Amino acid sequence: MRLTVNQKTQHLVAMAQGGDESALNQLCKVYWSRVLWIVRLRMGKELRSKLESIDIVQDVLMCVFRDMEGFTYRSEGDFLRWLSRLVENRLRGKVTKLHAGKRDIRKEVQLDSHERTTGGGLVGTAGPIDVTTPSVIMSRREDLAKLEKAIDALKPEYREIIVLTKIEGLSYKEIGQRLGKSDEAVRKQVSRALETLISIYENV
Amino acid sequence: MADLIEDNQEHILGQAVRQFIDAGLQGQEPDIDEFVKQYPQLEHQIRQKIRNLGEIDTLFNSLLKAEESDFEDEMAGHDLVGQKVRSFEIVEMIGHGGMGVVYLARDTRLKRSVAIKSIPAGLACDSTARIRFRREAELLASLNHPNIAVIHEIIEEDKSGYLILEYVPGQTLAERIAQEPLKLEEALLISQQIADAVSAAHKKGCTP
Repeated sequence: MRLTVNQKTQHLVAMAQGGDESALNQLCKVYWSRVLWIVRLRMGKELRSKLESIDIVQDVLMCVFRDMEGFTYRSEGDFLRWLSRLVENRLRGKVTKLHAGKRDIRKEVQLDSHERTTGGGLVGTAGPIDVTTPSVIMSRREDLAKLEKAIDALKPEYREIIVLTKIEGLSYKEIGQRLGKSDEAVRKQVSRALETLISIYENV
Repeated sequence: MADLIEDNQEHILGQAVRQFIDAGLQGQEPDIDEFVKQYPQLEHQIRQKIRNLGEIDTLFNSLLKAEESDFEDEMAGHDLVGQKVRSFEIVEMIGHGGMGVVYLARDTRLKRSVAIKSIPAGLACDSTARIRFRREAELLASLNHPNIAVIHEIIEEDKSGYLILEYVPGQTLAERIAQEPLKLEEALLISQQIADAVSAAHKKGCTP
């Protein structure tokens, strides 16, 4: 029987929770680039620019997977949101720390390059994730970079509402409660934000 | 005056697109063909914008869901590490392209490192992929150029195929560029080598 993506992930999550290192590695390989992009889109330009290296994202993701106790897999969307939220929280914590100490960032691959070299010049030990394997999402990185630029160019209210609907997957009602607006007002705002996003995306 | 008309057109276009998006957000599944009839002069622009919306939606959706091939690639990549193909011990995966995974391996007979390109598991049973694989091997064998890796052997088994190639250590061009921008002379030298190799391949009938 062929397993679906959900079943495969669920299986890997269960194995990783039981301490299976190879399941843990595989989860990281499958998910790190998605998590990276979700975190990037959610963080916004300013905070993103303070994170120099994608190695940090990978390391943090590995830690999150290791501490996965008590997590129940419900759906792909939930799983990815949960992962990226935890990664983002830890990253936010690290940003302050990172900038307290002196680091030679020239030796590291910039977060903006989306790629990690396997050659020399990489600080630290070889990470757990081998990104020489281009996943489906890696093959879309040019479009994602374009989308990221377009989202960055939106005014903050539009940016927020796009992140809440498209990434967080919240309903208009939930967003309305959060922002103190009616469902209809939220929906209209989403239409306006999307229309603006399309226009910027076309010209990036 | 012309600017005013243009501004007005932009305004109507924006309004129309918002209207279409809003109908969709309300779950009405609006029909684009019907919708554009209301704006005959803006039909092309409206369609273009809705196509871009579709593209953006697909990007968001692809972010929030892993795809089957992500797992398959991983499985394929891990299958061979630590295993032996004839006299070659597979050490690690060093690359991955559309047509196969590339491993670093140890040739136990001749005591040297080789690169092994394997046909992806999903394609091994596909006859067209096999033919392309064999053709790639034959083409490589017919080439003799310092900037093109040498092929040592082709191994074809029931459900798998391997090209045993010269192992060329070092970085890929993408990795090199990611490190620091190339100097002009360096870029020219690399370009010349690439062009030489492509030209040699072209002369042997290898065309895109």
